[in-house]
Amino acid sequence: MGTTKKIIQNTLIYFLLIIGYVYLYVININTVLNPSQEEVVKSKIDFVYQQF
Amino acid sequence: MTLHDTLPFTSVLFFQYLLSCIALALGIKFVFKGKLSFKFALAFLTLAYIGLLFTKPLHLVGLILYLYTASLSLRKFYKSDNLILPMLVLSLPIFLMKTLSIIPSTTESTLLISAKDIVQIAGLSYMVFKVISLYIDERRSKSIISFIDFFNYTAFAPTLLIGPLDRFKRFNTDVENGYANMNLKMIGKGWNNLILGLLYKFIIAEAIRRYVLVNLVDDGSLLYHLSYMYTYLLYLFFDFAGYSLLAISFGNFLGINIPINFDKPFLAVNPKEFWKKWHKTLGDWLNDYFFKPIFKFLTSKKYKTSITRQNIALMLTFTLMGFWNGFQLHYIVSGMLFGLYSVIHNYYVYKCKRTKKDVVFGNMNPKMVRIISIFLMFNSVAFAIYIFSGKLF
Repeated sequence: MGTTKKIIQNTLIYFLLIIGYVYLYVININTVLNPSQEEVVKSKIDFVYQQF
Repeated sequence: MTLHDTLPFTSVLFFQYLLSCIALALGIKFVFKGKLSFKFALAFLTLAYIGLLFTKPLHLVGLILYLYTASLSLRKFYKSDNLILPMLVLSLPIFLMKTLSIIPSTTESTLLISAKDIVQIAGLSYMVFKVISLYIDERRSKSIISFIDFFNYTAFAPTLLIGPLDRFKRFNTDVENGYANMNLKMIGKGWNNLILGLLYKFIIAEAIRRYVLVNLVDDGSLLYHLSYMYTYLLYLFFDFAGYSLLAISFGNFLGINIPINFDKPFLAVNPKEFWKKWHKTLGDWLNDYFFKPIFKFLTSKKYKTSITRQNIALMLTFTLMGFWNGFQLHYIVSGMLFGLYSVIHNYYVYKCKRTKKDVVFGNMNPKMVRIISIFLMFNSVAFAIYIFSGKLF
């Protein structure tokens, strides 16, 4: 049971990682879906955690 | 992707640097049979990172020299048990940096800009925290900590920027074990942490940021604020937990067992458990070097009852955490709010112990109590993090 759970968990992690990478970094999905839409400059979330 | 502009895990160059480090360390282990001492190899690789890639190399070296000299001098000349002076001396760079950062830009003179530039060093807070724990833990020890050990501990590249906060004794034990720790088991562990870290930080957090967080339209409605609150919490968790996992993974590859920082925090049932699951190493650090000394001090003065002393120490510790995040009101209020949660829970536990019954849930089914507690804790945290985000004020 433990091994099966681990295999399922790892499959899911690798699947999400590969799909996510392709979706976010290889294809810019927004330009595929809306080719005519102008790129909107998004506000930056500039504080995430303590850097200094 | 430029030299002298590469903070840990912010660019491909940093990953290339870490992979080179691992390859080089493995090369020394297998080709040169470990003839070059691990600690010297680690110091060389760290120095290479600071010298070639870090944003302000000279500033960082200056900070390390200040902290080493200060902690050494304190150990030699300061024999009192009172820790206030050492704390002030060692945390002086944080205090200067925070104070200068709140001076409004309209009053900035050339001198002020230069002063800000000197003290704003990435990773400064975590480095100071490490040195404070090193000083307090080792101040009674007879052995002098060599500069190379101090340097490896404070400037270890994967944890330089935002932790996890390791302790000197634990870190140094792994460094002393050297190449022996760079084995298949550790590499496997590192790989698992790397994959999960990449998924958290670069896929899930990035997707939340790109497709949800920046697209929320601020119409001032309650729905907007609630949406922002929960989305920001999830984004913060995946980004920070992902970063921590990446730091842990590269530590593993180099044979160093960096402690975990996040462990299913949204399943915490109370504030005490939450701080054992969320940014755990900072929670432990605050507990050991602030909460306990304050509580001990209040006890030595026989100040009121034990529960009052605990609550005062809790409030002071979390307020301090708020000030550390920044001198802006939203950071301070958020820290105080976390303190208030802990005080309420602490008082609840005290009341339950005294009356020998659950004063809130009574005889309710334990499973139901757990579900309600998780729900309450999750929403309380979401609200405090929302305040922290600065969206409200």
